[in-house]
Amino acid sequence: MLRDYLPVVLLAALAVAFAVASMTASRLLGPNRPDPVKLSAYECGNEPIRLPKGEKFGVKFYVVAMLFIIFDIETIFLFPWAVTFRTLGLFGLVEMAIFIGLVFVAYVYVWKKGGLDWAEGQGPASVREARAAAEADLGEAARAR
Amino acid sequence: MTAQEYAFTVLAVIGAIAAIAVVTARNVVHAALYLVVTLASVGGVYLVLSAEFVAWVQILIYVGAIVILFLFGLMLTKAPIGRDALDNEHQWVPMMVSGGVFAGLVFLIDRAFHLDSRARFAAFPAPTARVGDSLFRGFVLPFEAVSFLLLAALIGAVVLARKDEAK
Repeated sequence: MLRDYLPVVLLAALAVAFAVASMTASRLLGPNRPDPVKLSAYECGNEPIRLPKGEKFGVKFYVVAMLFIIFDIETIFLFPWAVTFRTLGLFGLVEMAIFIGLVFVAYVYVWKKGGLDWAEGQGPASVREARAAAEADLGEAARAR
Repeated sequence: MTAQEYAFTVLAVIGAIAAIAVVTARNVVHAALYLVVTLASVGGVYLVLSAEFVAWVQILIYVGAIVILFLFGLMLTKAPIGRDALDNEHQWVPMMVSGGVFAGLVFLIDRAFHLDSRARFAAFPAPTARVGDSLFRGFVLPFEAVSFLLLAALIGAVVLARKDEAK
């Protein structure tokens, strides 16, 4: 089994060797005249500064990270299934369909709750809210008339 | 030495160096990135032991997800990121604890497997097909329960995050 991974190891070794060789070559062959401007992180634009104290990254990033982990775990289960699904037959297909279906419910839930909206006023959840607010306004206007 | 033993030695050396770098790094983010190398080399060791499925679980879950969580945790909490943000002066207690755990594990493994000086490198082949077979035939209900657990975890995460956002 280990022999199956020999090409992978060879490719990895080649990739590392190529990266090391090209970086060494550029260091040896290229002229090296550093100055403070060249060494700054960005030659143009603002100096990178840290977030001010008390400033937090948006919690949305956390939801995306959770989504990623959930579907990462789902992928892990797909791996042995993909290897055996020929022998499992229809039973395995139904089994995996239920599994993916349940995880998909979680995805739909996050989507509808606006967990995937990046800015305010986008995505189904905020569109629905805006529509509801507009309808309420219309209703009030009609009643007032 | 067999090819397996060579591969193991290379992976173990890389993993050990990276593990030392994790605890000596002066920057928390660098420590997390060194942890990637350590966990990946552990995954490589699983592969050398012919535990293919466990190896890919290690790579996908630990390297892919857990380290991402670490980095997100650093970002989202107000943990100090940057140089000298780590407490590098009080390393005696962790050193003693991890040294004790290491010695205990070596002792226990030695007792359990009776390793002699010329321990053979024995692989226990567990092909992914067999893992899948037992998972999808023998453990159908636990497997479906896992998807329910994932659903609950995600809904919990969204509820918590939205409560935090509303503040």
